[in-house]
Formats: sequence, C-alpha cells, structure tokens
Amino acid sequence: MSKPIVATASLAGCFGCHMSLLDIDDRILQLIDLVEFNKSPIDDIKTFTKQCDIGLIEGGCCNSENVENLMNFRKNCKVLISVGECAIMGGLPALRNGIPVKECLEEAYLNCVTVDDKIIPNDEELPMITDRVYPCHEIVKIDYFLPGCPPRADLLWEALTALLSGKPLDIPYVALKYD
Amino acid sequence: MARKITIEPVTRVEGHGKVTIHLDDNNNVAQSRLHIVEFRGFERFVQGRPYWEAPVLVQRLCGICPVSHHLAAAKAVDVIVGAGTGDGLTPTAEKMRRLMHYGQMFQSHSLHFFHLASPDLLFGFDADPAIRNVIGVALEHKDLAVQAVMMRKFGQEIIRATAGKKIHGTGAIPGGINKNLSTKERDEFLKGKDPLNIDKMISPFSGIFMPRTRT
Repeated sequence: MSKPIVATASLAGCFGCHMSLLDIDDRILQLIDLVEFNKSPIDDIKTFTKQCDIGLIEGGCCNSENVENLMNFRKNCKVLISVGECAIMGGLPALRNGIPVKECLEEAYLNCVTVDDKIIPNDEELPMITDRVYPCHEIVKIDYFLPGCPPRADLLWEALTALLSGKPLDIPYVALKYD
Repeated sequence: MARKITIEPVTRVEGHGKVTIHLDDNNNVAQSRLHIVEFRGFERFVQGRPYWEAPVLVQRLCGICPVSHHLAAAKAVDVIVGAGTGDGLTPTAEKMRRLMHYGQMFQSHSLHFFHLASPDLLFGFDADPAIRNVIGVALEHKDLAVQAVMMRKFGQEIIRATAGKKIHGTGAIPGGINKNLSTKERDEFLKGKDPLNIDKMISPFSGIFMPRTRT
C-alpha cells in the first residue's frame, strides 16, 4: 500500500507551528516512515507533484498570495487542517483588523523611529495586502482544527497518528486553554 | 531576450521570502532582488496594548527565533518599569535570560546547519529536490539526522526550562524573569541521559568548529 501523502504551508504565520512539528523530535523519523511529504517548507518541493491526503495549514491569510496558496491546497488535499491560532482565527496578526492597512504601512515604513529610507514598498512582485486578516475557514472549507500557539508537539503527533489510523482524537483541556 | 528567474518560496532561510533574478539580453544578471513578501503590521498594532504584553506579542514575529524578539521587547519594558538597560536586573534574571538566548542560538543554528543547509552540502545543489531535503538526509544519513534532532531538542529544552515553553514562552517579564532554574533542571542539562547533556552536545564539534578549550 502506498503511504499517505502530506503537504504543509505557512501562510500569515511565524513558522512556530512547523517548529512545533519538529519538536516531536525523534518521532520525526517514525513520521517519515508513515507518510510521504509533498509540497512543504520541510522539504524543497515548491509545487504539488501529486494529489495529497492531508494538508496542514499554518497561518491565516493577510495577502493575496496566502489566499491563492490556500485555495491551491484545498484543491490538492483531501483533508485540510487549520493548525494553530492564526489559521483558526487569524491569531496575533489579526490584531491589525480594525486598523486601516494604510496606517500599518505608514507606521512600519514612514513614521517608525528606526526607519531610514522612507518608502512604502509597492512592487509588482509583492502580493496585495488584504483589508484584514482572514482565518482559513472563511476562505475555503476546513476539515479539522488543532488549537494552540503553537499546538503542542504531542498534540500534532497524536492528531496525525489518529488521522492515519482512523481513530478519534481527544483534545485534552490543557491543550485548549489560553497560555 | 531579457528574462526573469523566480525562486519562490526561498527554502534555505528561516522565514518567508522570494528571490527574483533579472537577466539582460545576453543572459547576464542585471539585477538580483530579495522580496520580503509578508507584511503584518506589528509596528502599528502593538501600540495601545498593555506594556507587559509586549514580550509575548512581538515574539510571534517568528516561531524559529521567538526568544530573540521576546528578550528585545523585555529589555524595552525593563526601562519602562525602572530596571534600566541591563544593570537593573537581578543576577538570576540576567543569567536566566542569557541562558534562554543561548538555547535559542543553539537550536536555531542546529536547524539551519542540519535541516536547511546540509541537504545541499551532502547531495549537491543540482540533486533532485525530492531527495535534496532534510527527509532525504534522514533516509540516507540516519546518524546525522538523529544528531540533528537531538541538538535541536537540547536547545529547545533549554528554552523550555528558562521560558516555560519551547515556542512562544513567557519567561521574561518587565524588570526580570518569572522562574528560576532548579538544581534538578540544571543537572539534567549538565549530566542528562546520553546524548542530551552538555558534553555530548559540544564534543562532536569541538575539534571542527570551536577551539578545544572550554571556559
């Protein structure tokens, strides 16, 4: 039987959820026995080369590229999981919701005390910034949610192994509470 | 004809990025550009928040180097609460914060060397991307992969012991630190189970990358 295929992405996140996945430590060697990785920052596969069984999404959507990337993941993954607070509800970057984008750009590139060259980047290579930060389920259908900032390594491990074996997953209270 | 090569995403740095290389009519490089594609607006949205939130807010800039941002913000709020720019901290706070950052540097350098750079060094830059990655390293050079995992883990455990969590901890607070390092925790790093102790972590590299004398 061929191994289940996993893809991962970091959208408007900080890579902390990916780091938490690495925090499963030596179980990572078991994981690569259990699954095959496709498009992911963990390997160097930049475009989907086949249909995937599981997509892990870190981060919400703060620009047009995040939105396109997320829609691409939905198209190429049978099961899509929002991993961590940013994917689930926008997380910390969503603190900018309610503040005009212009104010954020001006503070970062014009008014901030440490700015030297006062230029707001406006290049065709840069994605369009969205009006607010969107959680993933407002853009595409999301099948499962794994809470935490980041979700603890054990939870990621247990969720993946539960999904692979078709068993239900109990999320302990301690993994749900605010930290 | 002029053309453009796009490398996206960049997978050998810690973070989000894109590189475009612009070639002229003779296929010579006219311009190479690094694009930082993710804008989140921290500079603005941290304003107006309670000052003691700063260390836990700004570390979310990066989940790979959260401690560095955590401590930078802690130093700023130290000044607000009258603890000055370093000499106002208690010796315990100073040592705990330093150890936290040593853990950060240790895990981040392990990650960069083993997880990001080693595939290119071991397999060559032109190798098939399907194998030229950390999973390929784990399959072809298992001993090295185990060492990579253990070294990163050691750094992460030091962060957990000093900051409370491996990623996005809460250790540094305005004017100090919210926990100490117990003798038991200290001894786990000094004489922990093989290979997770300080001698094992440093010795494999002592002859290669560092002077042999340790202070």
